[in-house]
Amino acid sequence: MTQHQIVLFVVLPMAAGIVTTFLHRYRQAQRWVGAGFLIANMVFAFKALATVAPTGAVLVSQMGNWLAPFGITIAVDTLSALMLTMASIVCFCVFLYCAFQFDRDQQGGFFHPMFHLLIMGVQWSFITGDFFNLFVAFEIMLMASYAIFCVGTSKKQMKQAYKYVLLNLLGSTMFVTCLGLIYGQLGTLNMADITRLAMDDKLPTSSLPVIAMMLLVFGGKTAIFPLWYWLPDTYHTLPSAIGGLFAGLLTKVGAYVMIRVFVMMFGTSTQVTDIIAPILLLTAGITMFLGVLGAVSMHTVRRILSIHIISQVGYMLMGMGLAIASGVAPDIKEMAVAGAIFFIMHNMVVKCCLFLCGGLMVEHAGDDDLEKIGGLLKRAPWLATLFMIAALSLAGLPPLSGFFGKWVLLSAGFQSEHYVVVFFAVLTSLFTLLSMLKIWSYGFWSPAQGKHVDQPKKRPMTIGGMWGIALLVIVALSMGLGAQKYYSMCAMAAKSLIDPTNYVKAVLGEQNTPEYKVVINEPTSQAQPMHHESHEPAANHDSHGH
Amino acid sequence: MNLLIAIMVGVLFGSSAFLMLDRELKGVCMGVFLLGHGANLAILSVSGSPAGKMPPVLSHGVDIHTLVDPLPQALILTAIVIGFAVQAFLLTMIVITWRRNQTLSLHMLAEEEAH
Amino acid sequence: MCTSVILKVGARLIVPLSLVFAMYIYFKGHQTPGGGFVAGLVASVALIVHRMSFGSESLRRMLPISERYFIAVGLTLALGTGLGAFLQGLPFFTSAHGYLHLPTTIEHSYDFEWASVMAFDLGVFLVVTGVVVGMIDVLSKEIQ
Repeated sequence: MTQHQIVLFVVLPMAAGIVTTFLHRYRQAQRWVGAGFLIANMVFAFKALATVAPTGAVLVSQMGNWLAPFGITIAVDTLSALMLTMASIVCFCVFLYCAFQFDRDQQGGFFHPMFHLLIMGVQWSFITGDFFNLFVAFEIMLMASYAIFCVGTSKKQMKQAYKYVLLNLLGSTMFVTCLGLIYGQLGTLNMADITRLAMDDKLPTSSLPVIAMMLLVFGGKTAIFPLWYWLPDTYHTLPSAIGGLFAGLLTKVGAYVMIRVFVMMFGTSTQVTDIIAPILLLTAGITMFLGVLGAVSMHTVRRILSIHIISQVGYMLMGMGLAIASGVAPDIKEMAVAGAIFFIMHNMVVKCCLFLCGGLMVEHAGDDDLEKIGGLLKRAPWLATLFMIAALSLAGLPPLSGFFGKWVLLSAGFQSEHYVVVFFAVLTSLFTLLSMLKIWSYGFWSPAQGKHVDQPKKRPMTIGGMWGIALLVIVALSMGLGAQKYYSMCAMAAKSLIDPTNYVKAVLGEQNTPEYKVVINEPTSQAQPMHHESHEPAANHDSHGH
Repeated sequence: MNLLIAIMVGVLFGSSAFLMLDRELKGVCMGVFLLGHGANLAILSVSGSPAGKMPPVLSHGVDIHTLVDPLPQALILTAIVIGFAVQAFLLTMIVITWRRNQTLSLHMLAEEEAH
Repeated sequence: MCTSVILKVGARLIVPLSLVFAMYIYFKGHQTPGGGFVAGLVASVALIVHRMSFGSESLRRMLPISERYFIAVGLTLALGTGLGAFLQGLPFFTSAHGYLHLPTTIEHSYDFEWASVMAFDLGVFLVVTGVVVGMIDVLSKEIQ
């Protein structure tokens, strides 16, 4: 894959969105076209991974051929490529489920365009190298998710939709304010350029509150401890397929951005990490433990799974916290980041898979309240098998994927002597197993009951969903059985995040690093006039996001 | 000038916080809209005082050192457009809620939920 | 729908003028303030004024295709502009430009500077018009 081709990760889903808009009266055509685009997307993601992962190279393309810190940069490094690959697989599986499973009336003609535009937003935020573009990508992703949220809303959903939309709006406004202030403080919004400033220790002290405020923004999107309140209330009201998509992608985008920002961009600056690292480690412990306690106390499949998302985010935070904590050796830092990346990948796949399983359980049993259903082991033995594998993988039993992610994180925690967070991580793992076994024993193992018990002849159409789930389980199994291969790619990604020299060089060029100073009192008196021309395309191209 | 903008941003943020605590959905939404305007103004202040400077339009014979920084304006333009879309979306949601429940009071909506 | 005579007469005057003005802003936009976005807003204001004074049926007659297709066509144009450079192996959105000699009279000719950004801008114009007209059309229908 050549470097300019990486823009296809935005172009392909957008083209899919446009084509399916034209076809909004023809459902069947929309499905086939969408499937074609998603497969192409997957192929490109694999190609990008194959190009980038072996050497740790960075593919960079400057939009409109404008020079790096002034134009808009997109870049794919190993981390982005790994995320893109997993995201494209998840999208395809959810699409299989949606296309064959989703209720006809909920699939109004504009569901498909919104689905593809959501993917566009997600992939765009994975490849962008420009902070403001990250905001635009987030907004596209969120707008599409608002629209999908409101497709065929019931009254109950509408109330949750308000909660979701308003809180996300608040977060976005905070994000854009942060960006403005960062530009005022640093004079640049290019990620590589900011990384360079942090590496040269040129961050002015007055920019620290803004950076800390960004923790609030991304924390809200990722649903970490004090900002998680919107998630358990909203996700379980969604149709399962959409729940799976949101659970598999949206919070993980937040986690990815946190790694990118706090580990790569500001991780080299001790004045930032001294503030952020303790907060991350503290919230990691609380998030994972409280999340899993919530899950244990719940009684419907989808609620259990929704609250579990929060608990799993805790592990990712733990990896990030260890990676930037002071007094940790560089190789352990690398290990912690690699563990966090591995865990994000594992979680994307497994979480989505469990949500889809939950959806098929509803199809089979007519409800997802654990008190009212049962006997699914006999009704749907294959579903039961796949669910079991995914659930044990989430709980982290060897040799499944969750085990390796947790093992790396825990050993990084042990070696850096952060015993408290390790203790909570182990405890959380135990409770996770407990809550998964709860779904298993009530839903699958217990004697048959529920709405559809009296009509044994009625078999719901589950073929698309089963294929989607099976594909996800295969990926999860390969991550467990071939963990070494995946882990070495994660380690490669982690290495370039802990020492981002390569990324900065690839984006900004070897010698062409423009010199401009950061002035604290008069933020804008220099830096911009010299390069005035270069600012123009930003205005043009931002309008591309409308 | 910067002080004036700071005060205006404060007033906008403050009134939006007040509106967001409203018991009517439309008040809440107006609060969110105002918050967006406050944020835009805050970004505008980043480009410094415009006193004695020219609009950032290039033409022959213009000294580029006298131009205002155009990047914050580009950011604001984008933020405004995104805000515009979201506002339209929220308004549509409000219209739908009104048609379904004939009320926009959060109190009444919550009561309806309970029944 | 408003039945005021003043509005109707005014609209007859304003709507075509605004549409022409929108075109002017669009063509002016490359080097000077203006461009597809603003032009789209002006054009949609014109269309909305028309809708306010003559009703939505009249607007439907004026725009024979649904404004939803405006959005899709506009996005296609904007994307296509980027793809043009992309297919030549350049970074996405790399723009090209040149001059077009337009003979205005026999002695004088006018050098019109074209740029591939114009196609992108036309896309933006269509998207903005489609979105704004569509939104206001739907919202006002809901209220009636």
